[in-house]
Order: sequence, then structure tokens, then C-alpha cells
Amino acid sequence: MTIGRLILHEIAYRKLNFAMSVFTVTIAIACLVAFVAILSRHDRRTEEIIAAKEAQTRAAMKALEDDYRKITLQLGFNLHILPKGLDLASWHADEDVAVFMPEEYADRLAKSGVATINHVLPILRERVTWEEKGRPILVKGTRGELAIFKRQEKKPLRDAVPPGTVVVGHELHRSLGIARGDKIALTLSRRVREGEAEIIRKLPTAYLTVHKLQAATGVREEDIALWINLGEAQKILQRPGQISEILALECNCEADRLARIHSEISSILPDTQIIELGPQAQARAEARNRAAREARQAIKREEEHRQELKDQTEELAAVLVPVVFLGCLLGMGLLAFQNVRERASEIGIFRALGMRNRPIMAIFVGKAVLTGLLGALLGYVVGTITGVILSEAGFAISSLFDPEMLLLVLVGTLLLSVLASWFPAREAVRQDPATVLWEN
Amino acid sequence: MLELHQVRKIYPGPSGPVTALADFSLHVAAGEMVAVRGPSGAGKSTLLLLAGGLLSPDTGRVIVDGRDLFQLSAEARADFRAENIGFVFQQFHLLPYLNVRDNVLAANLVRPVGNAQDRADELLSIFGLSNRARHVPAALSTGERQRTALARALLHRPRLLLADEPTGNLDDENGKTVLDFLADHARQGGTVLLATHDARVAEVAQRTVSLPTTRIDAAQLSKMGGS
Repeated sequence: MTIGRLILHEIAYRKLNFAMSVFTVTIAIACLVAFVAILSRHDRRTEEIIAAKEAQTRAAMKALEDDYRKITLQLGFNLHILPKGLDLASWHADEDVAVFMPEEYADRLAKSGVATINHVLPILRERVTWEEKGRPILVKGTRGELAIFKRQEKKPLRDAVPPGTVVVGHELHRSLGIARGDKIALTLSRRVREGEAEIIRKLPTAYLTVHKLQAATGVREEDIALWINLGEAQKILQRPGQISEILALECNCEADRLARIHSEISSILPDTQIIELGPQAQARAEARNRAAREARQAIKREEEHRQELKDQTEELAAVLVPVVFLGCLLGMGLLAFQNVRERASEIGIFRALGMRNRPIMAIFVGKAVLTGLLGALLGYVVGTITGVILSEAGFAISSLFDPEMLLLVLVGTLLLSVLASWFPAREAVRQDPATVLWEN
Repeated sequence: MLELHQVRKIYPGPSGPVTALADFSLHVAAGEMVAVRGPSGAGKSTLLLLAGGLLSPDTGRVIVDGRDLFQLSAEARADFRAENIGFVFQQFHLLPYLNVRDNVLAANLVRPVGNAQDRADELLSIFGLSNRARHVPAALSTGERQRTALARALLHRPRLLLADEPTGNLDDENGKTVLDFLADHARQGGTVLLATHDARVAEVAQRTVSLPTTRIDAAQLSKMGGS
């Protein structure tokens, strides 16, 4: 015979007392676990909602970015990187300026992994006369956009022009009746100042096939332009290895945008100067920043709403859980006291047999601990299932087992059981054995 | 083995204190079997509880095997009781949720000994309870419960056995078995103090002590010089 076996026999004998004690603990633990499960589900749901919102926002941002990219495509590049020696007043006045920089600058910029700009497009641009048509035009030579080192390649705003071909601006092909696939002779001439006199110098004739006809843009730069391959343009215009500018699209830097761009590009290409096409750049930055701001606000609103719901549940739990726990403690204590009273003569027998205080207390506390642990296990299972049902979440087997929570519940209930049974057990050992043996 | 010196025990009552034992002295030698007789309420049970150290006297001393029980701490007294004293109660006081065998072995829960299982089976056999070993007290007759209580008290071969009406609920045959066993226990050196109404006990006991027929109230006690 051991104390453990004695406890089990007694439990089997007084089933109702034991069942009521276990039920009391089960209810208390189930309430606690259900609340925790609901709160945990709430948190998980919040994370899901926020993640969905963020995904939604990212998609919206991507769509906006794409829309903007298309708009930008029409607006053109918003940064001009020009040779340092170029007179900006003449450039703004759209006068012919024969100041160039090496084509290698564009390569250097792309290879540097520059962070503040996108879409690096080297251009040789010159205002000339198309002798065959007697029309002033803009010749633009390009080799297409350069890939920036270590950066994901983006869809180009301006495609390269294949060698031997030409892309014709809208006004030119409209007024001259040029069609795609036409072969055109291109003899250009430029005005050159020699001393006091201005002379016209003819350039070698080139024969090109019309590769593409540009749609109307309403921008003079585009509508009277002929885009040709850079290498061929350098040859035709007799500017070997030279370009007149690098077009670029600035990145979206929120604060002090231009200063950062200037700083970075100057460090890579000291012999250049930068012109920002303000309205386009501003519009781009504002649109993107506004979208990002609104996305953040939408997520913040959702988080606040979810937090409010959580606060309400926590407030309820803060009141209900202690009440249930106190009720449980009281219930267990009362049942333990009742148990002690019922077993008064038993205590007298143990005394008569020479049992000390400690083992007598162990009989009562041991039973309470067993009651608590069984109630805790049942309460944990009931509470988790209740929590899953009440939080209207999908039933997941994995959610039934949270080792940390289970451990917390078991340890907590163990302490609660000992606390609730301690005073009744102490009462038991204080009983006068002669009195209880006599009275029973 | 057992000495009670000028032991007095007074209980509070609804109409004033009632004296159960007034300056009572008794000496029981080792191996002696003494019967205490007296009508109901004469203080027989009080005497047994005092002798077993379960009830403290108001005055006087209770000495068992040379140890003054109430000079010992409660824990030491419990240990002494577990080792030396066996009780048989009038109401049996069996544990209702244990079967007969486990009830007998309950004493082993307090002071475990190696051969307890064999000893329990031996006692069950002696008291004719072997075929009832697996039954709980509720399924036993009164006599069987009494014999179970006696077997429990004897498990550790106590040096002092205190029995309150051990044959009161037994038929002649069972009563004789129990008394023979108690006498045998005394012959083997155990001391037995019995509280009984049973005339048969007097035939077996070496000595019979009679307690007064009426209780003493406070006024009588005062005349006797008591407080």
C-alpha cells in the first residue's frame, strides 16, 4: 500500500466529489485556454488580413508603377546628363551647340551601378537639314538603354535602332508620306561658323530602311526626329565616339532628390552637368509617394481596427478570467474542505496508526494535484476546441497542441491545486483524533 | 509496560464540565492482559485513548514502556504509536474504499516492514477472512469488520494493544477466536488492555479493572480536591 494507491482507491470510491472537482478545474482552464485561443486566432487573422492588404497594396503599387512607366514613356526621360562645357542658356534656347562628351561616359555610368537613376540612354543629337527633303530635322543616334551593373533590367523606355534602319518622327512621316519599309536616302547638312561667315557643310549620304513610324507625341523633339543607330549616327554626323547627352530616368527619392542624384553622378562623371525636367519628375515622385502613403494609411487603419477588437477581447478576458479562476479556487477549496469533513474518521485512523502530519497532508494535496492535472488536460482540450469554434477559424489539428500553453496550464493548475487544498489539508492534520474517532 | 499516574480527564458538557476519569492510576505489566469493565459512559474509551497517546490528560502522566507519552513531541508520539501501539475501535473505523486485505495493510503505509504481505495473509487466515480479502467493508458483516480491525491492529505485532469492545459484535465462536488470539498475543509478551462489557473476557484476562458506574460532575470533583 502506498499513498498514491490510497489516493486512487479513494477517488474511485468518491467518484462524485472527484468528478465535480475535475469539472470545476476543467471549466476554469477551458475558459482561460479558449480566451487565449481566441486572442491567438485574432492575432493570426490580423496577420493574414494585414498580409493580404500588403499584397493588395503591393499589387496596386506595381500597377501604378506600370501605369506610371507607360506615362513616363510618353513623357520621355526626365534627366539630361550633359557635357560640363555646354552653355545651358543656349541649350534651353534650343540653339545648336556643338559640345560633346565621350560615349564611354555612358558605359562608365552603367558599370558603376549608379543607384539614383534608371534607364541610361546615350544619345548623339544634332539639329541638321535633310537635303533630299529640304527639311530641318533632329537626328538622334542611339544604341539603346545600357544595363546598369547589378540591377534588374527594366523594360526600356526607348528601344535600340537596328543598324541600317531609321525610326521616323510623326510629323516627318506624316508630311512627307513616308511608310514603314521605305528606303530613304539621307543626305544631311549642318551650318558651320567659320570666322565671321556661316557656311553649310554637306555630310555623306546614307541609305536607310524605315524600321518604324512614331506615333504623334506633340513634342517637337520627337515629332521631327529621325532615330538611327548610334554608330551610324556618329559616322554620318562625323562625331566618332561622341555623344551629346545621356538621358535617364531618376529613381524615386523622397527627400532632396536632385541633390542626391547630382552628388552621385558628379562622383562618377565629374565632367557633366544635370538638368531635371521638373514637372515630370515631380509628378512621378508625388504619384508614387502618395500611393505609398495611402497604402501605409490603409494598413495602419486595418491594424488599428484589429487592435481595437483585440483590446475589447482582452478587456473582457481581464475581468472574466480572474473571476473564473477565483471561482475555481473557491470551488476546489470548498470541495477539498468537504472531502476533509467526510474523511474525518479516516484521519483519526491514520493518527491512531501513527501517521505523521506530512503524509496526511500529502493524501489530500496529492488528490487535489491529481484532480488539477486531469482537469487542466481536459480544460485544455475543451478550451482549445471552443476557442477554434468561437473564433470562427478553420479547424486545424495543429492548433490543438501548443506545448508552451499546455505546460503553462499544467504548472498553473498544479500551483492552484496545491493552494486550494493546502488549507483544508492543514485543517485535516489539526483535527483532534480522539474527537473524530469518538464522534464517528 | 503501561502506567497511568493520577490521570484526570474532563470534558466540557452542555450543563457544565463532566469528568470522565478522576485521578485514575493503573499499571499493566508486559505480557499482561487486562480487562477494563464499566457501564457505558464510565470512561473506558477515554482510558484507551489516553493510553494510546491520542488524548492528552488534563493532569497526570501516561507512561508506555518507560516513555512519558505527553512529554514527547506530537511527531515523536506518532512514531512511538506506529511502532508500539495497536488500536481496535468499537466502530472499527475501517477505510471504506479499501478491501479487507488493504485495510489490514494500511498500517504498513505508516510504518512499512518487509514481510507485511505475508503477515497480513496470516492474520486473515487466523481470523477466517481469507475468502473475504477482496471485499470492501460495506460488503462485510459486523463480525468480519471487527476481525478486520483487529487484524490491522496486530499487523506490526504491537507491544501494547488497546481494544475497545473487541468481541462486542462477535458471535461466541468468533469471539472465542479473537480472545484466544489476544491471550496468545499477551503470552508472547504483548500487553493487552481491553475495554469490554463481555463477561467472557474476564475469563481470559489476567486482571479486570472496574471503572465507577457514574460520572463525576464538577461539584463532586471539587470536593475531591480537584480543580
